Amino acid sequence: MRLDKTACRQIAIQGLVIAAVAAATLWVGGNVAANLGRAGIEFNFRFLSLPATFELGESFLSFRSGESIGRAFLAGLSNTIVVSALSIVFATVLGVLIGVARLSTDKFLTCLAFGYVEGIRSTSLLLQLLFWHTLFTHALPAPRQAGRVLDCAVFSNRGIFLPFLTPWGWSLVAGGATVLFVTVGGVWRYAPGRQRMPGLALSVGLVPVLAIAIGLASHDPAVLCPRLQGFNIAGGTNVSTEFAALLLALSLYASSYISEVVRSSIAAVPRSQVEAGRALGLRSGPILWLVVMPQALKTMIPPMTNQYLNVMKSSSLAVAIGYPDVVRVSMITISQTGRAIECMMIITLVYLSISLLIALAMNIYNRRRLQRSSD
Amino acid sequence: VSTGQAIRRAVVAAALVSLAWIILDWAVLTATGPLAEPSACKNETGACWPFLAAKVRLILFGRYPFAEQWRPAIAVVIAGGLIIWSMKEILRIRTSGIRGRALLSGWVIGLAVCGLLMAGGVFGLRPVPSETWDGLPLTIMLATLSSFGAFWLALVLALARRAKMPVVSALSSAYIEFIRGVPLVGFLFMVFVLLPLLLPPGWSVNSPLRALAVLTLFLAAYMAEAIRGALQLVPRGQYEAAGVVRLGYWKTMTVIVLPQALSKALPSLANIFIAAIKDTTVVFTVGMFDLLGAAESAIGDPAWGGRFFEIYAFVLVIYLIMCAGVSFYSRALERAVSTAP
Repeated sequence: MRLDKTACRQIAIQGLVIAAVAAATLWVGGNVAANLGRAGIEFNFRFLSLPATFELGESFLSFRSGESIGRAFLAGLSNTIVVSALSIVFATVLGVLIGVARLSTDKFLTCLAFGYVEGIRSTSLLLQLLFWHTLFTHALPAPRQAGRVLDCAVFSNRGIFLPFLTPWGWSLVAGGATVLFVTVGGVWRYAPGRQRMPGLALSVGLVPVLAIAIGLASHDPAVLCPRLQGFNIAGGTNVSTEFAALLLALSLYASSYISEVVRSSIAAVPRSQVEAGRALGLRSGPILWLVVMPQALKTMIPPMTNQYLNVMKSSSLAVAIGYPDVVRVSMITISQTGRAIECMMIITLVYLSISLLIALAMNIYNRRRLQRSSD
Repeated sequence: VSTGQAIRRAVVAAALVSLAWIILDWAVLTATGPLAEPSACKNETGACWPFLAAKVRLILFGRYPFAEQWRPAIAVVIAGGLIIWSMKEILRIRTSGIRGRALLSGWVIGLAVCGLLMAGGVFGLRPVPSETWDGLPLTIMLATLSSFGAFWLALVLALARRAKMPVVSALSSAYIEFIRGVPLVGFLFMVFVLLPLLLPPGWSVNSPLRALAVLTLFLAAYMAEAIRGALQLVPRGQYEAAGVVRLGYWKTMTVIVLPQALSKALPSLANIFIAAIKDTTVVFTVGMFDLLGAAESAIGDPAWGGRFFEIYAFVLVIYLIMCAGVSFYSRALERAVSTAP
């Protein structure tokens, strides 16, 4: 095979690039080895099984000082995942509503939504996060003078205490959900078309009412209110000010970006679709949710995936307010064990794999939807 | 207007008016004027502007020596002027073209003056170490210089990713995807924690430079994707035409392809610049005093009864002006790029 000039040059350039990268890697690797050798640190991940000498404050996967450092990382990961997932849900709901409002025929509503989006997007997320956190810790009273709503929800700078389900309450919820699922499924499957809507409305309305009635009638309480005990508050559930601030800041910030995604995707649906819907005598609500939205989803999914990834990555700003997410756990571990390289590798691996998982899930969803629409 | 709409409007309008009233009441009606005695705040429920007045120079200039703070103030004005001038110049990209040479010399002279003013040590100015260049100057410096540096790196990365050389394009893709996969805070910690390990003993980089490097490397990946997207919009025919007149790769790129692609990429690059202004705030998490960091150090001073609203309101307004300004500009840019021939 004869090589022409371009091919020769391309091979030469690639050779040079490889040589440069290899030289840089060797130089850095040599430095790392020398520095680690001088500090007497070996590179390995055995420290993960050592007992941790720190507390995390709060975590969804329980963790106490004395358990392994690896468990601390898992607890931090659980915090990252829970706060990101909840923020994504809230931000999507809020973002869709605002995105729809931006396209409303009501000029007043449009301006309002525009102001919201611009205002939120023009300040940094970290600033908003610190603001909410300072607001929650400074402006909320101490547990002794905590603000109360109906004597059942307590707002204090030690956290926000809300009424929460007892095990009996959880079983009621689970039972209600099962009954609801079965009746809705049954109505959808077997009821003739005209009775579907009333049937669905009946089961959706009746089942929760029944569940609440049983909960009220029984002796065991289904929901417990938080109560002041000693210096602290017991019963119900506790949302820490850090978690609340992070959730609020992430949800509001992401909702402004998601609303833009929603707006531009809806605007990309041909106007004739709306006109066709109107010609069929549909009202504007069904036109939006049954005609326009399903088509807008097609263009919405890739940018929406990006926004979800951003929420997940931005949740690491939690370190600024001391919420123990996975980045904070690794910072604590580095300061206690000096395992900087290993911890940074863990962080990188965690975020890259969550990114890949979200991207994969959205891809599968997208493919399924495309298949369904082509059937 | 239907009845439902009218009711909705009335409710929202009432909510807005009451919100505006609360803000007005707090900021003006029950507030203590900025020139009042600090003790006057105790009796009032509204804003305590003497608190902000006492802290405003700490917020804007951080630990920069108090008596010398006129120097960063002038530097901020010069940098702001340079930025606005460049933005105006870029708007002419599709009409009369950017006066690149004037722009470049303006920036070199302006930055030199700013650097001399900030650092001192000449013309009888007291030398000030760069670790104390805090507050607004740090925010503007990090945002502008990192965006500028990131642009050139991004150009290389975007061209490399599209190159027909597997090794080069794989390396570029790997870098871009790695950066886009990790959070900025994580990357910042990575560099701040690992840098001493990666360099030979005795070498060190001071924190402003480290932060600048982090932001540059980070933004470059996102800008590279914006530029790559624009490169894909350039029709194949343009490359083929360049091939027919036997232009080489560099000539094809610099004369034919990049001018078309970059003008298409400009609006998204402007949006990344907004992100850069907002992202500089993360340096607060490694203990640097950018605008937000300096503001945080002023907040919750027990001598002022742990007040904080006044400070956040002030910083919020500064970020709003900067980001909304660039956002407005990016829309003008979009129009300028799409309408001109």
